[in-house]
Amino acid sequence: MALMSEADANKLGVILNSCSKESARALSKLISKPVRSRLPGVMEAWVPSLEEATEDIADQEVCAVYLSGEGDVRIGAMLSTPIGEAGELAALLMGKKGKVGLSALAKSSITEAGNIMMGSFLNGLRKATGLRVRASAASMGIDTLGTLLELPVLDIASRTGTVLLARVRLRVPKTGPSANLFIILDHQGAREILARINADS
Amino acid sequence: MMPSTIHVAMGQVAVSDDRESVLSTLVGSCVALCLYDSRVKMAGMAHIMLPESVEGKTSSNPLPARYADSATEALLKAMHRRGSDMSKIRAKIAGGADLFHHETGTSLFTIGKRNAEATRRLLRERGVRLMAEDIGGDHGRRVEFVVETGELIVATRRDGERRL
Repeated sequence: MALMSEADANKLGVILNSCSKESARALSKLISKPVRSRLPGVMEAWVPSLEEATEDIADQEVCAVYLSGEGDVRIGAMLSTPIGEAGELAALLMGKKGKVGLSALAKSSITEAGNIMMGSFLNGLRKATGLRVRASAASMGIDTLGTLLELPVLDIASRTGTVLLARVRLRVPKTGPSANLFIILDHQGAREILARINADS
Repeated sequence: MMPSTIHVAMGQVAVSDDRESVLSTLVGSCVALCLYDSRVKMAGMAHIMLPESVEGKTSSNPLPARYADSATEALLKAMHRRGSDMSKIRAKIAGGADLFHHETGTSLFTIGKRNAEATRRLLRERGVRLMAEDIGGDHGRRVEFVVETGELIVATRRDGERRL
């Protein structure tokens, strides 16, 4: 049974979408190209059923950056880009044309992008709700998305067993690389955000 | 005939004595604890999420394999209930990776290592012999436990398949 009503999930989606637009704007500035972002909705999943819920993308091999946020709420953010497009994203971040190999410098540039995008997201969250959250240092992993998503889920939602997952789809229009920004919250964190929104409205 | 696959999701436990079945899961920093009683050809798998709670355990969350200790206990009990002899049970484990690393090469999350250490310690305490393990590294693993033979097949993105 869902712990969150559809109306609340929609409200949460609206606020996370507006915060993720800040992340997209930050990425756009970093690569000097427009970035489209779309958050179709917030998914509430019981931890064991998360694998089924993300089945369509679980086997995709990706390069991912994870940061966890601590403060008024616990929140995790994982930026992932398909491994075949990571070199293209790194090239844009490094001001180069085409694609670069995933060197230490290339990985560092993607990690830094994740860092800045999380910072922008958290600034957006503070502006919209007043909630203050500090992000951890960023770390990177390369594996299948399903495997990499395990850690953020353990980090944020293992205490309650329920995870709220928002998938923000990011794309540089036309032929540019694509990425996903996963926002992970536990139920308590989601309730806190909703309480702030409801108090303001 | 193709074996039937029983998927063991995060925090869950499964037991099977159907010789045509395979217990399967995908682990990163989690640990797949696989127990086998060769006398009755019964296999059990727990998908362990965390070594131990730091905030105290809550009974409201029915995830039997959330913690290494509750997972080991739940799996041993489930196999015993279905006729397995505790003294005949042997273990194999896989997982416990640290997938995310800081630029300096250090790992900021040590959940994988701690999951593996806790599982080994609990098996020792319960007198269950650990026959094989594939632990650590920075990669996820697809794990299949064959009920007919007790063989553990561990596949990784980089290194292919290993049979334990």
